[in-house]
Amino acid sequence: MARQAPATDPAQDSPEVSAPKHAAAGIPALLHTTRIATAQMGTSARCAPC
Amino acid sequence: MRTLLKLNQPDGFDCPGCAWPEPDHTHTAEFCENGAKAVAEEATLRRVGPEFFAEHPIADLAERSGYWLGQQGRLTTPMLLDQGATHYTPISWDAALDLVASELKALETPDAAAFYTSGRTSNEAAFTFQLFARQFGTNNLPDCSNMCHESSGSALTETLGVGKGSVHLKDLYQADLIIVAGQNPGTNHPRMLSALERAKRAGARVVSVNPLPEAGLERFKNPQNARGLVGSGTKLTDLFLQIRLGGDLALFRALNLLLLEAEDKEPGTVLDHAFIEEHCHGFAGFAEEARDTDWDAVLAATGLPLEQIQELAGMVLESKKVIVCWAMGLTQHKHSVPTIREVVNFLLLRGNVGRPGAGVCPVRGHSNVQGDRTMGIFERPSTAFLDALAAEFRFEPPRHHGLDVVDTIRAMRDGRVSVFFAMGGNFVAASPDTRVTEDAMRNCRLTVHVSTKLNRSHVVTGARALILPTLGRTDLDRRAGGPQEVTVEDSMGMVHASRARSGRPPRPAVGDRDRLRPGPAHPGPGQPGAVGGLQRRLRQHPGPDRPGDPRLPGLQRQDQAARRLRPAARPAGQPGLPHHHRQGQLHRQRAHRAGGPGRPAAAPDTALARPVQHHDLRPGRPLPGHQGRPPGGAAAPGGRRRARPGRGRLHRPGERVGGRRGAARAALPGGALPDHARLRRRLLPGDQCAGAAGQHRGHQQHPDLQVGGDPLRAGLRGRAVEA
Repeated sequence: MARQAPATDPAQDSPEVSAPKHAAAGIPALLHTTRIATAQMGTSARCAPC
Repeated sequence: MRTLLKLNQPDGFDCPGCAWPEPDHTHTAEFCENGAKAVAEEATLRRVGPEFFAEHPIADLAERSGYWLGQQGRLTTPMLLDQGATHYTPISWDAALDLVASELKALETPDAAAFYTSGRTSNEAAFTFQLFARQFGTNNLPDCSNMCHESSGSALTETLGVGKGSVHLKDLYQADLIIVAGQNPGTNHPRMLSALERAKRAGARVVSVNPLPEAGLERFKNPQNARGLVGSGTKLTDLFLQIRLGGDLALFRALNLLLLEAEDKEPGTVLDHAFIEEHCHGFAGFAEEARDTDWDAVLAATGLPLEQIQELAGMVLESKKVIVCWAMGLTQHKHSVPTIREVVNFLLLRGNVGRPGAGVCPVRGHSNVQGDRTMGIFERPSTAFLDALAAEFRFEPPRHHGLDVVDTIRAMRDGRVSVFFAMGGNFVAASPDTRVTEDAMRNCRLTVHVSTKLNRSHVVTGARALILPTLGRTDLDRRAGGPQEVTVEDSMGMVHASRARSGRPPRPAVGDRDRLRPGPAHPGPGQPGAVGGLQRRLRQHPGPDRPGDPRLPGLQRQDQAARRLRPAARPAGQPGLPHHHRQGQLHRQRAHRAGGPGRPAAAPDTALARPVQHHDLRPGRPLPGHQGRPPGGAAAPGGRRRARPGRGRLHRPGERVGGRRGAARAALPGGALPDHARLRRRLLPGDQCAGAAGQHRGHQQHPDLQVGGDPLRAGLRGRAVEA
């Protein structure tokens, strides 16, 4: 099941600031992708039959 | 996960995230983090139905951010915000289309309506949409191209004959040198990093030219392989030039000068004289002018040390095949058209156009923004296109030019456009000045959005507003004839099918289905269906006929034409875009920032703020690493205006703001670039030089831009001038 839609806005007035990164993607990208996908699309294969 | 595994696959659907092309042999997971986000937002299981709108008055929704609105889920039901109402309420498809038809019929002129197209719109929907607008009687077809690669289209059409790139994905793998200028591929087209990685392995060198370094261009950890997952990844950039804002024109001019000087030293070894002789003209004048380049002005405009420019020129001389890629960093300046012309000149000098491994590569953002323009979504259609439309569909399309995005906003603000119909997109958040755009939207009589999800444009409305839900790329569109498919065109001109094999289209709740089901005028969900339904209602509705109505042969002819749009399979071994040598010409212009009406010229030591476009910084998405707002916290609505830095955060010229790797800070400009009247378009072909300086074909230049001492009118928004 997908997570419910957020009830409130994110706090965009206090972004985290960190040292610049010098490489992109890798494992963090996989983890982030998985988190976003499961939050909205869920984990079950609820698809209409082709 | 099943949905994601169909993403960008030959038998799957095209990613709505960006327009980067797919390789011939795709990975099992041929998508990036941004693509997964875009798909997740579309294939979400969350739903926004009538009960949601009953719970949230429009005033409440207007206070929400674009991120929150988009996260609520897919729209299921046509919704109407009636005049003076506090809530959107459900409306049947027939009633909704009838309302639009009645408003359109009531207009004094078809030009009082504007039809906006988002770059996610499929080729079929785009073609049908522009046909509808022109049969209605207007060329008011603003689209998101007006805000991104309009300058690329203008410059490339003039120089190479077609307003698109000349390379295919395979060319990147064969290139010796790839210059990525004004582009952040790691954040805006991440799959491009895979192509650059493969090019690097094949021996290419990569030069990035940007005011800010980007992590992805420095080193790419490709999640598709073990080295990327657990290793240190691949170093992509061989040379990083931290250029000043808008300094690209001066950089490429300087490169051209260095190439000419190298040719002088060793005649016959640097320039491709055979190519220039056969395919270009104006070389002698170009060379003469290039030799007048003022190095002080170049260094001031670019902010680069001479040694770095010379190093890049050395890399160019060592490379037989060169590709230049660019994006908004080059296209959204007032002197973007001259800049891109200079890029083309740079490539033409050594014959780097029209052969494998070399060429121009403007990288598009929206997934079908290029296809929409191909389909005729253009406020300044060519005569040939209109003639063909007239012959095929037996009506006389309007010949006068329509409104682009900025002029549409102005017209809405001034009351000259009162019906705004958007085929997808988020017009309010996408256009450059949120406040002005919102005021313009509120001035309309009716605003209509064909959309998949809520966004800011739905909550900043005209007197009446309609939201018409539609299908997305991930939704299976099953009709009597079987599952449907659409086509899209990627950034390299390849047209291919997008087939959703799964995905459950959003539907109204069970109790609402009878009341809200599509009526006889609406053939079903999907963008072409919405246009078709509206076309039928318009014809049935009483009121004055528009020029095209009486002879309109009906949708069947449109359907037949749309089928013929489907591309035939390419013969094996043939590239998508021809690599034939194209006619080109060498020309150059100089530009400097000058004052305009109400705008004084920038002082030489003025620090320039740079807008940063990042997928995670778009109005509809939260900042990376955001935390949930504590209960009760106030939320600010989204908009372009939010990202502007405060005055106190700006740094004075000369003050060290960030680390500049490997280069000392160059002096900031001490004055404008030198100006020479003789530079004025002397290198253009005769048919383009015939008019006055401001009447060259295809576009007007921004009045603030001074070229050759005469204020030309061209630039970002490109607007045709009647000859």
